[in-house]
Amino acid sequence: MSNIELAFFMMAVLLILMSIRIPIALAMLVCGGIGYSLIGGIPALLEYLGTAPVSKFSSYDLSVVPLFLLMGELATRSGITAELFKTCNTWIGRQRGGIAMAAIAGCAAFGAICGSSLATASTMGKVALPEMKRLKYSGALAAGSLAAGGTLGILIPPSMVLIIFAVLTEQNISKMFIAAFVPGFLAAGGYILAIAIYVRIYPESGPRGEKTTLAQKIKSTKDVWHITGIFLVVLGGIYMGIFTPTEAASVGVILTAILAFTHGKMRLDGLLVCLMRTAVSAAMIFFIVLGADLFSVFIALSRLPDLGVELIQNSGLSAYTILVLMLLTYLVMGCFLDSLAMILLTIPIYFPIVIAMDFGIPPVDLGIWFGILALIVVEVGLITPPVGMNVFIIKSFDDSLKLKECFKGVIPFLISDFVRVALLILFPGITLGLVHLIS
Amino acid sequence: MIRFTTDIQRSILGRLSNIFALTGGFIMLILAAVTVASIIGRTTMGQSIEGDYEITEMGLAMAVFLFLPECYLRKGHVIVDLFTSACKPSTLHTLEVISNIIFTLVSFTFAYRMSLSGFEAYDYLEQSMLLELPTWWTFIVGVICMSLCGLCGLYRLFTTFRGGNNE
Amino acid sequence: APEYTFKLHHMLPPMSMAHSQFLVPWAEKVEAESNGRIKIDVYPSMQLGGKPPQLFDQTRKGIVDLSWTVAGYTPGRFPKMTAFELPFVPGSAKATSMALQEYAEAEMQDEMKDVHVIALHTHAPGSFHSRNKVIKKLEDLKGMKVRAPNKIMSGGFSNVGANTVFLPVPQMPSALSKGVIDVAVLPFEVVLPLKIHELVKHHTQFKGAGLYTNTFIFSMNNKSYNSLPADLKKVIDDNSSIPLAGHIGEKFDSYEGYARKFAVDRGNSFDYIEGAEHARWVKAMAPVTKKWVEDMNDDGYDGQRLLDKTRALIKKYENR
Ligand code: NA
Ligand code: NA
Repeated sequence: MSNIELAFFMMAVLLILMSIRIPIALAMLVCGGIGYSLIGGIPALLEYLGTAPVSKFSSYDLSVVPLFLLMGELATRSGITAELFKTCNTWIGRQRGGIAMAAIAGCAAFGAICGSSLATASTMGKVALPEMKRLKYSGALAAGSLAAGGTLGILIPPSMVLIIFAVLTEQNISKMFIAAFVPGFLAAGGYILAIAIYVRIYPESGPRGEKTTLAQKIKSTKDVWHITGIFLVVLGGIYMGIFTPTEAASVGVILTAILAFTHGKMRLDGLLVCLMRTAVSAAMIFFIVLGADLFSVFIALSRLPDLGVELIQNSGLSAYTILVLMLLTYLVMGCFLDSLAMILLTIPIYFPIVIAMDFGIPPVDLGIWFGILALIVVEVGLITPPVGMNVFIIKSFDDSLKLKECFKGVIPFLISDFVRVALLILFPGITLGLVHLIS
Repeated sequence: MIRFTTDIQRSILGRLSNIFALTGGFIMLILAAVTVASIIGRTTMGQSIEGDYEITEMGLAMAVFLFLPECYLRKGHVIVDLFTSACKPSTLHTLEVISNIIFTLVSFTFAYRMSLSGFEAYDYLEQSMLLELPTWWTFIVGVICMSLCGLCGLYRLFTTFRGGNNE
Repeated sequence: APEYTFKLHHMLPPMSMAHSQFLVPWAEKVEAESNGRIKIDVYPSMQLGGKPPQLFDQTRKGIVDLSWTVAGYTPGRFPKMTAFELPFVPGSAKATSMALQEYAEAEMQDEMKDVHVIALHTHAPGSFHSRNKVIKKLEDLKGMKVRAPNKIMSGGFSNVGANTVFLPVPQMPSALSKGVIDVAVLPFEVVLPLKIHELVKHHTQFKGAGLYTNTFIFSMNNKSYNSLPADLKKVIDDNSSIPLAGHIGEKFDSYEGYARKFAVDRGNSFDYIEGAEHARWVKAMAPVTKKWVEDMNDDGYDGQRLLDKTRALIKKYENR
């Protein structure tokens, strides 16, 4: 068996292992490990296993994951975010699917301070899922909107994946962030539209809430000044240069903790529960990071990506066809790999090809445009079956949710994603306009 | 399943995992506080905490290791139940035993290899750039936590084979 | 088919100068000179796993056959090499690299015994890149938030009243654009890929001895090297040592000029520290060097002799 064949074979084995309830991280470790040892030798694999956990886990960039998880736990447990949702409910709860729309808006707001999809999905999921359940929303709509809303965490800057992309391709990170803004808010808008259409077709999935008076609306808005305050401090701090987006996670945790103890109902035992729940979610994510790393190292060793490049270059296809094919490979890979692993593995290979192709866009802009497209498609992988990390996270909050139901609920948002990707490919100006305007 | 889970949660391994997870959680809180102190320091007194991000990296690694056993005990690891929802309980039981065996093997392999790498990190004075924090500290935490993961896996297998009522 | 296939692992992206201008060409040259008997697969961006500080050990242990990395990532491992990282030691990358390779062959056999050294080298001396305030003299640095390139230099900047902020390299552009730091200290070769020149307005360079440099290790696993027959070992040897160090240094020097031009084209301001002002900087940073000599003496080395040798070697190659 050639190394390339081995790569395809192990991908198949990985799918089989995952589908028979082997935890995903374990399946990736096993398949990646076997593949690695067959190409690189067992001693090399053993050396890798000795050092990989420490080196993967001591990552400054990833420190935001447990911090934002903890922030979400604190806000949820102390009742702070529930108040926020109550406010949203008084304003748009009367609307069919209103709370789902509010959750999308909440995800977008949270995404503007958090660079990770998984953290956004967990935080908002923890807050909004019980609320939606209480208001008799269908599991599919609730899980779908929260899983999709979570992707706004990397779509709306700051974004961990964008940072990695910019570093790999030597792009200006600030420009990338500016470029991501319009597509990010388009995404939020598209999701809200998707909900509106969905509840028109299935009215029972997002029932109307109670009627509220203007006085109630204003009163409930006064209740959420503190969390709005934290949001403004974090956002203002980032944009005024007081701290970096990575540091913002720490600021958010400390402020939320103070607020939870002084204003909310947090006590020491509540804090312990928060820490415990953070521990479980964080361990789950980091174990996958570890598994995905070994698997992507194996794929790199097999030189499968290089073969892909050769095939593309000799194919004689048009630039747009190749671009779409590349983006499609992300959807396929989204079944096996996490978003960071996908970017790390493919960008070094795809980027030089894309830059060499002619789209009638100058190279500088081309890099930004492709980066945003890749970001979106990678993010779509977080909600597509069989492995959709965001969906798993939402599902883990509620045992009564069935995975099938969750993935069904994701479909309207996927359609919205595909429409948006098509728009961004056809009209690069949507992505690049703001960049040109500002710089 | 509930009785079984309660067993391991109440065992000494379960308590250790609890304590570990909480310790990791407090480490994260401390890291956040250090970062905030560093930000306050540099905006008010013009001096940030030297190597605050190195502290973050090392602390994060330790915290994540400390989180791992608890995640396993609470069945926090993501599985795909898309294709097995129609399976018989006995089939699911077998599949769970398989995944527990793999988990145990993987954990002990990590613990074993990390202990060797940890010794090497010690011998070669591996340390962080600014504060020169020795990396073998992280390895020690990692080896202990991976070993605990492996022991929890063994415990679960052991009770299963002794007829623990699983599912 | 090739008789020997080797893996060369490094941390920079494929678009980087290091990858495209000397690592891949080096691999291709070795392949060609061995008539295709040696094949070298280059893996950029840490594709084979681990973090940059582990590259040296990956080579030592044979996880990869070759690697290229920054020596400063593994502090304490190569104490004698740090003489080249002291302030106002480096000259051009070419001269400093050749000096380093000669120095290492004479002085560092013990530190390098675990690998087969292909070449040690340095980058071109770094300079200041400041956001709002021009740096013309020593006092200008006072109170500015400076991201120092390494521990030695951060000590030096603290001595002159700068606030040193510590951030990983990838965090630098956003920190700079938001004003979390005022000054980045880097060679232009790093400024260009991170697009620092688009975030700052002013650059300050040093004429004469350079402000600082970093040292790099390009090495091969001992077993991999020894597995080769004599004629193929010769192919590797022909592409190693002082000539290669000089060649890589030259690449860094010319790329420095190329990268700097982007900042010039943007209309950024350029200032130079030379003559009497340069001497003041050297004096202000002298305590750092003094402390280094003392620390080396404490560890049982002759610090002053190593420093003098370093300076003499750089001078020798600089005057060629
Ligand atoms: Na974000
Ligand atoms: Na997916």
